[in-house]
Amino acid sequence: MIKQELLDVLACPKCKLPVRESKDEKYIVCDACRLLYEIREGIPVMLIDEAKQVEDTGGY
Amino acid sequence: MSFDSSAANYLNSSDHRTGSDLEFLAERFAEVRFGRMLDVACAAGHFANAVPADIKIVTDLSLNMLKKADEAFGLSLGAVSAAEFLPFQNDSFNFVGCRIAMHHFRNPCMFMGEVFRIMKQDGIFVLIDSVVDADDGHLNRIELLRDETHKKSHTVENIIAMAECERLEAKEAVILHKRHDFSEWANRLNPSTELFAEIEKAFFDLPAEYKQRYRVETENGRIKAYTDKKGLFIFQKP
Repeated sequence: MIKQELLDVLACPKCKLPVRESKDEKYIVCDACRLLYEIREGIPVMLIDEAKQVEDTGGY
Repeated sequence: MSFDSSAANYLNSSDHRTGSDLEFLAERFAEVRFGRMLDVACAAGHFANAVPADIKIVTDLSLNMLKKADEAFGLSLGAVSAAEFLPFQNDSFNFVGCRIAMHHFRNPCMFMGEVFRIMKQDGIFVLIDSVVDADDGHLNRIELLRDETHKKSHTVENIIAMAECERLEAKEAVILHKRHDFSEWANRLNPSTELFAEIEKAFFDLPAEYKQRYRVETENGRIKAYTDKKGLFIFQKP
C-alpha cells in the first residue's frame, strides 16, 4: 500500500491531476487520462511512456 | 553497467556522500525546518537526508536508486519519475532540491517549469550541479565519454537565465570546487578497460590551459585527480 503522505501530493505526470491507488494496490490510477501507472516493489512508476492506457478505470 | 545497476557505487561514492555543498547547506539552513520537501533525481538519497524537513519525498528514474535511498536513509516516499514530468500536484512543496543531476536532463527548462509548478509560494529550490565556463567544451566531452547519459553541464549564467525564464527568482549562487579521485570517478559506472584508458587519455590530451583549470593531478604517469566546479543555486518561487 502506498503511504498516504505520498498519495496526498501524487499526480498524473500527464494531466497533473490527483491520482488514486487501485483497489488491488497494483497501480496508481489516473481517472482523467485513463492511465494505470504500475507499482513495482512498492514504488509507483510514474512514467507516461510506461503507463497502461485503459478504456475505463472504473474496475480498478 | 548502467546507472540503475550501479546504485551501491553511488551510495558509497565520495563525490556524493560528502562535499562542501552539503556542509554549506547545513549551515545555510541550520535554523530552518521545511514542511514537505522533494529531492528530484535523488540517486542514493544523500541530499534528501541532509535537508531538515518533516516529510521527505524522493524521485529518480531508477527504481534501484529509490530502493537504495530507502534502505540507506529510510526515504520510503519514492516515485520513479522523469524530472521534466514531475508526478505531483501544484503548490505541494516548501522545498525542492536537485543535486548533481541536471546535467543528465534532456530539457532543463521544462524541469525548472515543473519545479515552479509544484512549489508553494515562497518555496525554496536548491539546485547543485556541475558548471562550466562559457568557452569550455572539454569537460562536457569527457563527461559524455565516461557516461553516455550525460547531456550538458551549463554555465552559471545559463542556469540562472533558464530559472528566471520559468519565473524562479535567483537568491544566491555559490561556486564550489570539487576534487574527484580519478580512479573512483572513472570507475563508478564500471567501464571496460579500453574505455577507462580512453577517459584517462582524454585528460592527458587536454591543452595545458585546461589541465591547469581542472587542476589535473598525476602520479607515476597516471591521472590521480581533477577538480571541477559545482554551482549551488538558491531560487525562490515569488
